Amino acid sequence: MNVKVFQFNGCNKCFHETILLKQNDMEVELISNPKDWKGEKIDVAVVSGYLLPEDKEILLNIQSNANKLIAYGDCTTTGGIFGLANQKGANITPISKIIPESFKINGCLAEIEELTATIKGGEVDKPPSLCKVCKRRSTCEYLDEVHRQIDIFENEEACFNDLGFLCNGYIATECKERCVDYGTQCRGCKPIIDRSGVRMLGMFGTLMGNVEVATEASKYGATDKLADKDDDMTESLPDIVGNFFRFSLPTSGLPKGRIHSKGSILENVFTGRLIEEFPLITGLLGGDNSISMTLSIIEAYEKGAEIEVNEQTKQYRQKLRSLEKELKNAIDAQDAEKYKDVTEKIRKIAGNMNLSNVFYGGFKTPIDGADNFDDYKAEPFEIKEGTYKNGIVEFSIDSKGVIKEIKIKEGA
Amino acid sequence: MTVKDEKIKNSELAEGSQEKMGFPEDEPRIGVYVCHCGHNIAGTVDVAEVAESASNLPNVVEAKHYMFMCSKPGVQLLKDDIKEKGVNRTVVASCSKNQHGRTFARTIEEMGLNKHLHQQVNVREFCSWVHKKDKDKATEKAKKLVEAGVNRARKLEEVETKKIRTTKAALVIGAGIAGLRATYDIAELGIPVYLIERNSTIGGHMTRLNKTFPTNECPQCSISPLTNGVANHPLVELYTNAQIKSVEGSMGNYEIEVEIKPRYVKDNCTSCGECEANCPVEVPSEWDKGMSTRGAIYKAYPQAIPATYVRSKKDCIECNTCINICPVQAVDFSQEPETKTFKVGSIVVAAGYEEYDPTEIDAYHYGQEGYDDIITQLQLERMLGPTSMTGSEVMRPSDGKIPKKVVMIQCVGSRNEQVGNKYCTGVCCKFATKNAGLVKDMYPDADVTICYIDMRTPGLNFEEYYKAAQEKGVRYIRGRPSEILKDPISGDLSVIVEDTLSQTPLKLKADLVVLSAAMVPPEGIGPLGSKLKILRSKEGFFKEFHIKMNPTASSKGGIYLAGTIQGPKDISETVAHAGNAAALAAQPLVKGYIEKEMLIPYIDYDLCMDCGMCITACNPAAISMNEDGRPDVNEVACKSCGICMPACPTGAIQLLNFRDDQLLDEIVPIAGGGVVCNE
Amino acid sequence: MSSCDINECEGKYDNIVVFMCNECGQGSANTAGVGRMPYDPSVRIVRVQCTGQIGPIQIMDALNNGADAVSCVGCCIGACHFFNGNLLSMRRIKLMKKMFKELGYSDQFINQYTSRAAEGETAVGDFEDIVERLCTAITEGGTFENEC
Repeated sequence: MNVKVFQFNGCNKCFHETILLKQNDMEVELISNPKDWKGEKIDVAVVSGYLLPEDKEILLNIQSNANKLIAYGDCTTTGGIFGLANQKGANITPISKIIPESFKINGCLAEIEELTATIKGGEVDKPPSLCKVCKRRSTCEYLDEVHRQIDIFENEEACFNDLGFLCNGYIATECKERCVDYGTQCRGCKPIIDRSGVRMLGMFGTLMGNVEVATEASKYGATDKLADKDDDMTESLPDIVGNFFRFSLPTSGLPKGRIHSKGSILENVFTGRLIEEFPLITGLLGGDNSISMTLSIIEAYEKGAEIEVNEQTKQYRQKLRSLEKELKNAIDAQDAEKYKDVTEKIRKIAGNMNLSNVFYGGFKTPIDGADNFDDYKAEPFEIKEGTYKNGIVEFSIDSKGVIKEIKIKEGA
Repeated sequence: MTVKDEKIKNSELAEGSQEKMGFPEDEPRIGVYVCHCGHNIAGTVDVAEVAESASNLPNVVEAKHYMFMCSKPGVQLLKDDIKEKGVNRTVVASCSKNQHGRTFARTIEEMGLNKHLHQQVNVREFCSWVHKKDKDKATEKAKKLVEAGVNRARKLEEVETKKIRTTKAALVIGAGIAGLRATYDIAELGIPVYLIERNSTIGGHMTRLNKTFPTNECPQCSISPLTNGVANHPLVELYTNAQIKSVEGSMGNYEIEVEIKPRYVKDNCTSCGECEANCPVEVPSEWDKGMSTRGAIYKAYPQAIPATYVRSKKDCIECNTCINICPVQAVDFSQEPETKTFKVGSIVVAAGYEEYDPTEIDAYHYGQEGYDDIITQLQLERMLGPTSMTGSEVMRPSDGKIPKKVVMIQCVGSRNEQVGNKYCTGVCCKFATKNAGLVKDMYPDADVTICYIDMRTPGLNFEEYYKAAQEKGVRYIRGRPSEILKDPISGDLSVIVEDTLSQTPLKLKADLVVLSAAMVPPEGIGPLGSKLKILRSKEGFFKEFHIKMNPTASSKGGIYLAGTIQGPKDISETVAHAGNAAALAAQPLVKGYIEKEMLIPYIDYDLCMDCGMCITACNPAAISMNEDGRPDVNEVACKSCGICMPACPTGAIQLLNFRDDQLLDEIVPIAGGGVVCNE
Repeated sequence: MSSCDINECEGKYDNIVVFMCNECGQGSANTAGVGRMPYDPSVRIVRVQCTGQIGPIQIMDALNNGADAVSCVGCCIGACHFFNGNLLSMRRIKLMKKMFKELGYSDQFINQYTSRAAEGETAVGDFEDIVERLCTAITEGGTFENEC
């Protein structure tokens, strides 16, 4: 079978993941610059990366040449993490607005098994919901307060939502990346329903429901109306858009944001996010640079906020950096075996390709095969307002831990 | 027997099977009827235009306008169209649902359609009457409202009304004045009642009182006809020392497990008192609020019902004296706790209140060593009472002397945000006035002072009662005492208060300080609430269904609240409240069945993640996990509110006829008809 | 709220969706009707069981279909006929307000109110407040516009 994979904009992690298709007797070609593609008849076209309105023509060209068009990864299907830039007026477009009839495979990183099955055709088994396989148990009692992941780490049994962290597991299917296994709330990259963010907003609003709401009396005789000032509960959720619409802002029915920003799309994705989300996002969208990008950001903050880092942690981080280089080599060589081998090694330390296990001050969960978790354990920390920088990035956060401004060096 | 009774008797009563009636198979054929309501609607809205525009909507087979839709010929229009034109859903644009919505629903029901297939559109109250000045806009609005109604009607589903058989028995929790009143009232309607009391005697707080305001009559005399009436009622089964273990079921059919602790004294006890007289143990009496002592085997007070003695296992030293001394060999240490299961249709919760424990307020030193002469109003009642240890005299607990100066402090534990009780108990002003007056009557020379924040004596006869106390010489000082001091040398107490009327700081000498402590929820209300699955107010009492219109129903169908478990009340309020609870509880039991519209949510189990959010959100506790760990809706307990819908993260639970897609169809024309994109 | 001139906004909005609960919400609007208390014809009422039934889905549905403002009107705090539906709705609307602020919009076009069935003035007061707040949003240029 003749498969061509096209990479549009942004992160190229899903794109490179398709190297693994080579293990399935498929004739696979990775095309990183679809603009220059001349066009020829193909069996299957796989599209990855986020789309912009100007990509429409190229896409239609691909569609006219292919028997089957598959959108692979959240960036293409729902706008993905880059879709958050729409909050600041970007125009990231889900494929459904250009080619509604395309096949869609959600996920960040999307699963190669699912892609293989879709290419081959036939029924794909519906995976169970994430909560069914999660080892944490929920009670879904009303919350008294909302926590952030910088406050608590210890509890290994209670559902993240019961702790007040916002976990999207309810609307997600089970997946390979499984952030929940690595001390990270489900990001919700594989939703089972449309407009999952809007639904989660309703659900979480209910969960917070029995905490008193600030109201005020109206001068017209209406008894109560919502006061406009924030109360504790809403203040404890400083980034609703980033938390509920992390992957689906362009498809959620929400309007495009109106905040004007001169920054690049990547910078716009980061502004407004929370400090604890920062490494998780870079892990998601960094492509083949995700490890170095994540670690440089973490180290910048650690240095500025004086968070202690153990020797063991440093060693693991060094190892991750060298694995990243190996991975690049494997990609350059288009070597599926090697690629698989290296990603497995990365997963062993970082949990998954989204680096869920990597955090400020250490790692969230024990690394397989390592002796003493205390040597490299991440601890709760306090937010320190200020500006942080290293060679690649410069960012400032406010007192709530929201990233106010970020500059990423060209070419990084 | 009327025809209707006959019908009910002959009809098969459904018993629990869950069968969705669902979407009728026929293609929707909608009839739209716009009412003129004389000039009420037609004077503002162009009804002909509205009917005309409605006729162009999909599935609409008839669109008419008529002078008075609710009149006989108007209703006949509906009937004729259903018969002749095959209309199977009706939309009437006229007045509110409450006014004539039912008229039309009944009409289509007569014609063999389900009444839920009628959609009422309100173009009078919501449109013509309020937009008189702008006829064009009113007409436009009416068109949109009718379009929304038609959209809604298109997807309406039939809703079944089921009759659920009820178990003809009731359970009353708590045998205080509220529980007794409710029990007696229900039993007198011929319904068997199980009365559960956690203490060893019935009568509750009322039996502790000395006199009741405003008539100063003897509470024991007022309550005893009721206690005896209940204890001897052929339809009442009384269980003391009993507590609820578990509650299953829903409105009309509950199954309750009750654990009955043994008395260790058999029923042949003659109440002679030999056992207690010879018991070597001496502990403070709970019933007497610590103002007297009792043995390990005891009777709370001489007139206690049941009269059988009871042994407190935790106080007993097992010397066996009582076993040997009992003339009828009634004492039996081998008795075991017993669990009983009752099947009832209604539950009345009358678990009462507790006097606030003032030890929490450090400045008042209640219960601290060396401060024995600070007591609560209930303790004072026990001193004044006819069976008191002091012979009904007021005596200082420290030295037994009759106090010359008595100071009463109001609002101890109520109207106090520091201890978390914002509410006013509402009865303390009255009983402090009563007790102050009584003390003044007994000792005309004594100084009796009441320190209050606000004097609250509303209601018939109470202002006179308050005046009478003032005339007797009871001194009222407006001000909340900041502290009670004790002179380190003389040991005399003094109350520090600022008289806020004259703005003078005062230091009142006191031989005896009486704290008017608040009424607070009784101990164990939390576990009881979670067993019954009913909600509590933020003050901690059980929450009533509606504060004005339904003050005795709880959040769950079939469970009713009587008396102070719902909030502080005096005796007369409690009795009235309990009577209402009894009437409501008895209704479905007398009738024998409950009629329930199956307007309930349905769960799409393919989407459901079993997270349990709907269970938390469901206030009447109608949703629970079944054996497979999946949520299940109890169709009888459901109150059709739909709160579960937005709580569901996947939208799996949807209330019948208010589903997301049905609401969307209605919203679209109302929101302006959607956005047309030309691409 | 702000001191915007409502007359300036006239004609700039025509669809206001108000979800009113079956109890106090509908009751107060009916009382307002019986009392012939005029209000803006753009206000259109959807009957729901309880405002607790309305979630972000319905609110977004309304906005996506052309509504200029969406509000829920329920019973008074503590008097919800289903216990806490009005509070749950308030909490969700509060989150949505925050969400719109984060997106750079005004938070004045979605609101939650309470009303009293026996007092039509409360319903009319709510409607007037909705219009005034919507007007504020319009003058600030922060309303929701549908894009294709």
